[in-house]
Amino acid sequence: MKRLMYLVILLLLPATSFGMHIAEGFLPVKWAVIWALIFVPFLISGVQKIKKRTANNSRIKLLFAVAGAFVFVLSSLKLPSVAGSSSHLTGIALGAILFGASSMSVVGLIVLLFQALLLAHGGLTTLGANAFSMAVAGAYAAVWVFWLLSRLKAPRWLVIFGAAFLSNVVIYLSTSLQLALAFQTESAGIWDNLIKFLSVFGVTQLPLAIIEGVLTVLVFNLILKYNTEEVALINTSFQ
Amino acid sequence: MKYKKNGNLLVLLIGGALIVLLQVMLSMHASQYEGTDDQSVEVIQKIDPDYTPWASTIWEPHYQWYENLAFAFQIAIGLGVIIFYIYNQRKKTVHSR
Repeated sequence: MKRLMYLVILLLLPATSFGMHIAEGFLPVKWAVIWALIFVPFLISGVQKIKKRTANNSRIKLLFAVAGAFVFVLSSLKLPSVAGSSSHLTGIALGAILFGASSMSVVGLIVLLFQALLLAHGGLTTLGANAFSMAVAGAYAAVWVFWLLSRLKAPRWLVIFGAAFLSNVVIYLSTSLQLALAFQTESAGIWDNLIKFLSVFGVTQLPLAIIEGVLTVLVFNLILKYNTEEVALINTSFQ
Repeated sequence: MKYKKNGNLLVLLIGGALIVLLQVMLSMHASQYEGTDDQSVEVIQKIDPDYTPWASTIWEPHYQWYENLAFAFQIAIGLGVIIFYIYNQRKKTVHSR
């Protein structure tokens, strides 16, 4: 109950403005198509993985719904940060650790579609790029950090915190890289661009990544408390 | 026992509703923060002033209250699932004792 209270307090912090997406039309056609094509195989693999993992087990299905709901809630929270700017949390790490990185491509796509269609945040032309950053780069970063820290025998809270923190940071690194690649000119090379975009995202994102890490640890512990067996079934690291 | 179960559900639902309500209220008071979306668009325009977006959003909400409500709706969907999960698992824990 105490953990739930901490969770509620952290959820009460949100404020408004605009967040992480590349806006509609702000990626040249060539790059919009490239990122969409890169994203598709991850999406197909994600659908297959979800079908396999959730087959014939309603409790695991419910667990996947919770992982998806966590992304839904966190990605709707736009938090003010330092330097008078604001950005999003993402919530991708939780589901990626539990169900595998590619499964989050489905959840990420649904959330980004919701925000593009109902809120005009992000866009349909930049959906592939945004989905790749959030649901592929962020998800794989979470899984790899989880694996590495587990190997180093770090305490569980640190493993989960590290995975969520770095997942959030990598999402914004990926977005910066996408923009830096797309807007190379003779006078502005990729590294110059990258530094410019990172200076926008970096300052805002680091404090928010810490909040994301804390929230993910809290929810993960809650899930472990109720579903130890199911978690061990879907992820052998918890056996 | 049934009374206690209903009480737990009510507490969870009220908690969820309060979070959604507070999100809407706080959103209305925090519009001074510029988002990284807008800041990245400014950087693009500095790097390549001639770039013109080749697509625009199908529609854009013109009212701040609509945006707040839409985000609250998104939170409500997610919280609804999480509350259902917590209630469901607590019920199972009580039954197994």
